[in-house]
Amino acid sequence: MANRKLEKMASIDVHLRQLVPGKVSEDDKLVEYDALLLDRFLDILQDLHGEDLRETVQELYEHSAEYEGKHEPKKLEELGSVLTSLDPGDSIVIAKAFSHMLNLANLAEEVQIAYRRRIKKLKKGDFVDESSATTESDLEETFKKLVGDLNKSPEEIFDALKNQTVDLVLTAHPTQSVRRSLLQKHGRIRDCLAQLYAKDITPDDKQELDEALQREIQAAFRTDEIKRTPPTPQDEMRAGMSYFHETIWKGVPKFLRRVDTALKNIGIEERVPYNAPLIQFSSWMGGDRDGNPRVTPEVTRDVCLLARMMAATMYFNQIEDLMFEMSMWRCNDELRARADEVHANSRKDAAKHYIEFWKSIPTTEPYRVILGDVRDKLYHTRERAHQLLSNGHSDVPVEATFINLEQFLEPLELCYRSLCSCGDRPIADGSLLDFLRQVSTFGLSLVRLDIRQESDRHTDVLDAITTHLDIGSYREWSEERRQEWLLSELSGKRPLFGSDLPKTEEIADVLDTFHVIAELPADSFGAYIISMATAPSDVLAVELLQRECRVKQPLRVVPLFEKLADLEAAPAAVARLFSVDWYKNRINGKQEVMIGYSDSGKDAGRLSAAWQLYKAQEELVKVAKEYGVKLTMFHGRGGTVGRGGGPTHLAILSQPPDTINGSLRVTVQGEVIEQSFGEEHLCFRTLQRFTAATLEHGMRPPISPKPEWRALLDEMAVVATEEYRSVVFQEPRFVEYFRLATPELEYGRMNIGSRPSKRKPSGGIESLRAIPWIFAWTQTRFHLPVWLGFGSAIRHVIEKDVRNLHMLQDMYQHWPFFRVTIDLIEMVFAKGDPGIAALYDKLLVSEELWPFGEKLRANFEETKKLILQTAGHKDLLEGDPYLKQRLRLRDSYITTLNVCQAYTLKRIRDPSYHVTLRPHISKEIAESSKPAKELIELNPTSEYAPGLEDTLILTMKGIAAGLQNTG
Amino acid sequence: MTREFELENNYQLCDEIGRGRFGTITRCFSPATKEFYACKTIDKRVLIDALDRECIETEPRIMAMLPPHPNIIRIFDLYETEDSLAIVMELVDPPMTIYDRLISAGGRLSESESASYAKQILSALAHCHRCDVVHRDVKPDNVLVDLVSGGVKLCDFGSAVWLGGETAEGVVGTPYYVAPEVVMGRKYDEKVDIWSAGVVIYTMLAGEPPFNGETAEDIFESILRGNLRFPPKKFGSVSSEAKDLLRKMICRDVSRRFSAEDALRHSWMMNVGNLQSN
Repeated sequence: MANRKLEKMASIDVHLRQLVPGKVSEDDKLVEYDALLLDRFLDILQDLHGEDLRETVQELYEHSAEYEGKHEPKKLEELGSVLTSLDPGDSIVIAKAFSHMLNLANLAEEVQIAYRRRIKKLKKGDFVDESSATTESDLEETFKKLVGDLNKSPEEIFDALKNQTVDLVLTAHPTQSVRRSLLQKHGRIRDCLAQLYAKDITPDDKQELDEALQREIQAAFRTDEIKRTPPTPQDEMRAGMSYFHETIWKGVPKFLRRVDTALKNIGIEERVPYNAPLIQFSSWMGGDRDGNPRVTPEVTRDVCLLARMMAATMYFNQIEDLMFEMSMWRCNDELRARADEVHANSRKDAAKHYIEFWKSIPTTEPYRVILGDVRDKLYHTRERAHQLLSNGHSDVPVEATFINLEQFLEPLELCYRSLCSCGDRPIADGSLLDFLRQVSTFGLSLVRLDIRQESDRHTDVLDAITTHLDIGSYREWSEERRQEWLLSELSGKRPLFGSDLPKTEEIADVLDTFHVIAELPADSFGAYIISMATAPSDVLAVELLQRECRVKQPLRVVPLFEKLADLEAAPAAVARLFSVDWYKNRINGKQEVMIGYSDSGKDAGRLSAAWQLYKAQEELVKVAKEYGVKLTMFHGRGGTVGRGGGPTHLAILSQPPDTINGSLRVTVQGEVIEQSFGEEHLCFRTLQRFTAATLEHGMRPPISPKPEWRALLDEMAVVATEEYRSVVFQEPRFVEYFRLATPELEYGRMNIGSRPSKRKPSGGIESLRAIPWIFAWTQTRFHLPVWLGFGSAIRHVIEKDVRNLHMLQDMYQHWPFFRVTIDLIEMVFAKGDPGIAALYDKLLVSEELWPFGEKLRANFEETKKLILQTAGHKDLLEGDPYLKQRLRLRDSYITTLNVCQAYTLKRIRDPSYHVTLRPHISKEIAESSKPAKELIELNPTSEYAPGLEDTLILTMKGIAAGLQNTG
Repeated sequence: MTREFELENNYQLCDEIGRGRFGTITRCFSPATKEFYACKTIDKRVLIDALDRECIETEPRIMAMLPPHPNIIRIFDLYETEDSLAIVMELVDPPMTIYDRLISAGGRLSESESASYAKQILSALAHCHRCDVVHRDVKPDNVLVDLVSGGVKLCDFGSAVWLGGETAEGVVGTPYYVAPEVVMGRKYDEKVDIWSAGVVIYTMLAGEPPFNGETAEDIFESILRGNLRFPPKKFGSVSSEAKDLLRKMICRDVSRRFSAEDALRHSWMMNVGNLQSN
């Protein structure tokens, strides 16, 4: 029997050598990283839960890998039969193990990405992840390209850079489903791994790193992955803030220094001025109240104060180091005079709450005297924020603190000037410059918080006011009437309402938000964004409310356009707004407009949404030019492809020409924050990627599409939307099918976001937010909303005229926007798997809907074929066999989780579903008599049979983590 | 060692006893010593691949360099012409490899027999590695067994390389047994032998190799995946110590993979002889 399996194998010869997968680049240590982490994890698993459990995990992995090889549905059933035979305790451990292994694989990849040297060979069409995009924007390369290929002068580049701003807006996101305590452990695993492979480590170092690695992997595995209480907006905000603390704070000056170096390499001797706002940070965490009742005015206030406290703390922690460094005594007269003055006014007694420089500093150390004063102010600034946050009031006088940025910068600038004039520029350009750059990037508020509110809520408030004033119902007025009234009130001075205004809770909430904005320093805030904005009155309403609530420096009001129809109407709406004189004067020639990618996609399908977004931007820019307004486009992209995500630099370079012009504002959503800022190198590369791509887009604008390309795409968009809507909105049983075939219903139970997954508690697809919509389809690996519509659109134009295929291929080759759109779909197809979706159908969907599912899957295959034709590829990802292989390696974990999820859903939804359990496998070191009990008891409130809910949540988190930017 | 005169002048060539990669192995008799030997003859004209050619030329040099070891086949004589090469080696009679032994035993070997072979293979490898020699093609067909004494001898150094403190490269080995770093085209060191030896031991215990597939490509992929399993069906009666050692030998992380010396110090190896035969 057995000897049949053991074939006599000849040694590898010329022929066999060709079958070897091929040489992996020396820089690519991914397989090693992966092996190292996973093998170690399996050892830990064995130590903790016994050899049999390990074997079960490996058995499952093997089945999955076999499935990935041949895609036989039978393999999925074999997997299913092993998985359903597990008792609740084992099932949790197994789901957790796979989810953990996926996390480890991701970490390995992150380390690999961070350290990979640039791949010089620029091959077209073979990017997939942010990571493997070979067209990666690198500053030096970009500079070289601009100088060399485009004959730009170094001065032009320097000028463009100095006037460029990239504003990254961090948003919370429910599928950022990894707990923070886990994120930190992941961070340490990543660090250990990176260090282990560093050169020149001693055997002792290695051993200690080994131990640390073991510890962190085990600690992460032993942490309950499921948050047992839902996160509040404050939790999300604090989690988001940790990235500032851990990577961004130090990453920014480091990055800017690299910009200096890159400039020097093209012959620019100057450095980027410290106050050139190359990179800015904003946040939505605690400010975005759209449909999230848990973001209260109090939350907004806390979030701002917390950020201010963090900023002051970080400056304070750094300034003593700076004082140590600034031991020079040569200074200019200006600084000398100031030092004398500060010294004369300073307290002569010792300040015991300081660790260093706690006694009065003599004027023989003039820089330290000045910086000592800065430190005092920082100390008080921090204390004040601290007290305000914990007690609501503070006895620290405002005068003792920094009130605005200028105050903070001034003494530092003084030091800088003085050092330079005494011949110590190299010293000035050290830590002091870094510090100055941090101050001008982060200010006193660390980030600027955007406020987002639905336009209806403002209408409600104004309606209450006009009703109270007895002048009618604002809500019922026409747009003209509204504008007229708003403008007359805006030009007048009289207050509109007092405390006697009858308020519902919702109205009070809106007004109190404005009061918080008025109360806090203006630099805490960025934009006031109105969603569902359609008319100029929506913008003017916010202007009026800001004035009424005595916001001293009103926030810029930014309309957000996200539905297809809104996007189409956006240029006209903005034109109407600009034609209002009052408004035009108010904005001082600057306007920001936000365009939303997620909802537009959900509404009309991705192809139409992408094209409409493109056209809307072009039109908006045109309108702004007509009115002499400088327009900043705020891109509300999700992290995932379904919601407009994808590799950053490609997304930027594919924007229409002239729409960025050196100022880019873009969301960095929760699910990609970790990938973007989770680690020092990742942070560096994120900053570099945004900066380089923005620069390149401005200096080498992408080509405008030919008229015939536009016409073709217009035609395709109509067909695509038709098909998308005919399935999603018009197919009577679609919603039923969707709810059955995906874990959407159960998704709401995951404690992963602070926001309800629906705008309104009931209703169909319309009421569902884009995130759960995409999330649910990603979980089943079907990605329906991403590709639906493309197939019929491409087919339609080819059937109409076969020459259109050539035009499509031409567009793909030469038009960055089109190329990126197609490439992203190709990537999603590479990660998708209709075989998995079929399993969900078979288990969960009622039989009469099976043909519908099959139809959709046939559509998937056909669309895939057409996309490949358009791209001129024979096979998915044919340009990058390694990436393909890598996806395949990772797919095996995801597949196990998918199968586990499908069967768990089955058991949840169909309690009569019969399973035969095998004996309990997992061993626990403590209390081996009732091993599963403790695990199950972690979730005492589940409505389902023991263990099912936790298993389900673990699979959801695992799959989301595994698919990354498609999640 | 190369002689001008002909092989046939010193040895009487008898029957063919095996076939190697590039030639045949013939039993031969030396009238001078009155002993039988094995003679491996290689037709150099069939070698087209540079790497293979290099290997052939290295084999005798390496074998000559290695101090004698009871578990390594000894070399006695070498004859070279432009087109052919003949190596006269120690003869194991009847000539049986571990592969043959596996077949004759019905697929798998007992734990005690496996352990005994494992120990000898490892001590042969430890010896090679001390001399900076990497065998690079450890597999059941390259280990000869003397059923009478129970002794085994590692043979066929046709793929071996001398490291001299450096690392090696080149895809050399045999599909089931080759280490992942070789498949990936990495630079590698003597630890590749440990991987292969681990696979050999696994195969003796289970009757099938740990990484399998229908085609060579599938096998390579399975090796890269490195999912080392011990299915209860095959390993139900195998001791935990054996599995533990195998995990440490068939370990993808080269720096954590055992050396031959480490493996010999492992409890399973220390207990060889105490293991019950079954």
